[in-house]
Amino acid sequence: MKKHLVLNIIIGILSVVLAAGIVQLIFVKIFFGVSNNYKTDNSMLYYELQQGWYAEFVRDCYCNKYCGITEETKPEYTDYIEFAKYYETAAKYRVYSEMGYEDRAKEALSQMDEAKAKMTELSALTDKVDKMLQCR
Amino acid sequence: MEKTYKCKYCGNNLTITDAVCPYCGKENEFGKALIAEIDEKKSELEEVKKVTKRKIDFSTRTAKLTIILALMIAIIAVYFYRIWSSDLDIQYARADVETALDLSKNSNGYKAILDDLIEKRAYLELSNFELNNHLMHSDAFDDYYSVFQCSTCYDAIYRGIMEMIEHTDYVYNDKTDEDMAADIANYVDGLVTFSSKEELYYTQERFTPEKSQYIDDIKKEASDMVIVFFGLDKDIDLYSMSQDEITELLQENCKNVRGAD
Repeated sequence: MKKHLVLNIIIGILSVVLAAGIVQLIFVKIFFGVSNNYKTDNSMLYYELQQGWYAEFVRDCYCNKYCGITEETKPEYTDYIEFAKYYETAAKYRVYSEMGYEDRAKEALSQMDEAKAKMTELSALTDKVDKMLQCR
Repeated sequence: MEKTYKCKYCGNNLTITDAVCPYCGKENEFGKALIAEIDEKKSELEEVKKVTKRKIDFSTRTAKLTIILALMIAIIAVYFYRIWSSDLDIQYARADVETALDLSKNSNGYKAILDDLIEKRAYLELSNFELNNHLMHSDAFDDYYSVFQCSTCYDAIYRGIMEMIEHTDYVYNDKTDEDMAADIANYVDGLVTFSSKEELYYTQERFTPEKSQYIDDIKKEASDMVIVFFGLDKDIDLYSMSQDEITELLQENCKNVRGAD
């Protein structure tokens, strides 16, 4: 009887250790997992916008594109993708217009307007971008 | 009610379990034999009980020891897997191997995307596509070496300028505007290096007119971007300057990047 009690206690302790190891393993996998491609989820993109990390945001949207996150496959990302296009094109627009490349500036402006038209909630941010990049 | 028998010597009543007659003291042979048989059966039963208990005990102990052994093996496996999984260098190496396999199977698909991006002059997208897919160090993409390097430089210049404008904490933790300007100057100089004939000779890269034109365009766009955002003279040729000269020029003008802010 005593032997069985000892064995039961050992099994109990080992089970707890194993469970803790598995939980830690899952934690490591979730928070430190590395894959070939670097996806950024919705909440992280939102956080980047809140922080004003727009250049980082543009990069993450491109990385997402080649992980299969496009407006067609994930319509919930449309706002983000269009905002990234707007931000990138706004900088180009300023360069083209100040350097006197009229045609390219016109094309960039129409791309900005097209991107803004496709945005819903984030279209309000475009004024801030225009002011920040001094493009309009 | 207990069944009774007659003693064959005195005729008094006996129970089945009386080994001797309580009246005459003579042996009750039937009762005696029965008691002997019961005792024998009892001892057999005890023996069976002992053997069964021993077997059950053995099985239980074996099962528990097996569980303990299995748990210990599982714990050791989890421990090593945890070390293996949490080692980022190993994970990156594994990701690279997987990517290399994917690239070797589908290099034409990647090249088609790259050619499309080159044609569209999608500098930032190309840079991110290359970085995201680890194309730079794949032999299958040696011919795109200059394209990758120049796109990466453009990306770094763009990000540098935008981050100066954004003035985000995560970039500016330990950097000043002058540091950022020096970084940008480094990448402007990089565009000269990575498009030079010496670099092409070194990498044995086959240079098509499309790629050559792409590199000329990316250099022009990067230079224009720096000129506009740093508020430089539009006719200035950054690529004829040394890295130190570009650094000095950009540092002098870095206040223009954020404009009125």
